[in-house]
Amino acid sequence: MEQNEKIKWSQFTILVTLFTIGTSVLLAPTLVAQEAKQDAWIVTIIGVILGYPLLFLYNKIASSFAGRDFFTYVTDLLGTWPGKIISLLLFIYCVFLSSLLIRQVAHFAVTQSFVETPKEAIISFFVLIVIVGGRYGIETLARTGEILFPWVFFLLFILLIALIPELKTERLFPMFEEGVKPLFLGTFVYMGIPYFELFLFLILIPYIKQTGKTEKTGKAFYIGMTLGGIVLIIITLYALLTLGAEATARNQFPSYVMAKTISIANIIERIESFLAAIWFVTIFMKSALTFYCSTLCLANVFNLKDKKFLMVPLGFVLVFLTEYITPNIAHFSEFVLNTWTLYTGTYAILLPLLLITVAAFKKRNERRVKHAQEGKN
Amino acid sequence: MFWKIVGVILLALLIGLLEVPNLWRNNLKKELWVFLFLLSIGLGLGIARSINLDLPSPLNVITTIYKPISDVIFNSLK
Repeated sequence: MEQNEKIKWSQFTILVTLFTIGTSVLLAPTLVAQEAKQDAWIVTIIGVILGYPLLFLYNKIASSFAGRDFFTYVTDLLGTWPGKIISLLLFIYCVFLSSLLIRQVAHFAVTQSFVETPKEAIISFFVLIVIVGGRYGIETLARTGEILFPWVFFLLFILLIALIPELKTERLFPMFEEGVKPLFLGTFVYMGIPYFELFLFLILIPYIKQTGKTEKTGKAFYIGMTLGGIVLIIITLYALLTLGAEATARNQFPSYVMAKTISIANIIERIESFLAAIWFVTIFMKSALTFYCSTLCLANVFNLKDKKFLMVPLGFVLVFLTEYITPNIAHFSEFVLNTWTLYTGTYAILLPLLLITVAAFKKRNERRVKHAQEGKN
Repeated sequence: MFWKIVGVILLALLIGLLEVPNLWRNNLKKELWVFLFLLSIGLGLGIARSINLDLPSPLNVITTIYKPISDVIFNSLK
């Protein structure tokens, strides 16, 4: 499959940031607070720190691509059939992830803002824009990200300023009330939501335009994740400071509820839609990228020449899969809490480790063969 | 219910009309098969949805696979 599309490394940074903020801006505070209570903000900091070794691993793999795309790299390393099986598993992963993301959009919209609209309508329209984004390709998505990126931060900035009067520091105390065990559990859950999903960018790294400086790609990855991570830290901290641990854990969308409390002199009110806007923008980028990756994986499984024609039928599947992916919100929360981190962690940690180990063995074998040949001569 | 099924089938036909001629003309046989496969999965799910069939969540398979590890982690950390 040829790659005509190229993105700049600055655009890559923006994509990573938006991807990291993605679902987590609404989902992370409640999930983490359920486990770690008022220490949830510590967990979000640990999350960013643990993200670095992961990215180090990914950058190491990306640096040995040498002009190949991810799938060719895997196939060269592991062989044809293992490569195909991995692409198929990744395809399933991407489809499930996009379906879960769209499900969250629909759930949020139906329960919070478009109360009278049927869920199917919201799902269909969201899938439609994801298909359009996917068909235009990664280059257009990256440029869309460039346009939307300042808006996300502008809206976030206004929200954070407007919320300052509501903050109460005593809500963070007592720290470590139940020891450090809840922190571990919170970290476990939190890692799965943005950080273990970042490995998808391994598929997209080959699309970065190489300008001779390869270390820039690595830097772009780090900067993107750090920016996204800081946003998540601030959002979680704000949710705890305005609502307290109890309400943050109990609400489905604590950051949205937190934004609802804004009322400046009874004039500036109801600016929680800013948060909804941030959420829609970032989750659109995330689901469009995941969707795009899923078509790349499928095209690789069957060695297809093109991937564009896959988008419409795959979107068609997504519309109905989203209805079936989780029957209710309780099932969804339980899945995210208990299984998601392990599922995505398999691909985020085990797969890169496997690739790196095999690559190291191959290199050693090659050197030994070379050495033996030189010995003969 | 009847009209929902008709709607889903019409939508599938429309998607088919949009892409199939192009694939057919360029003699992309493998691509055509993958396309039709995806479309039929979508059609199947769509019809199941129209008659309110209660399909189990595909995530349950993943949950079952990871349950042992998940139990160990949550028991040791709680």
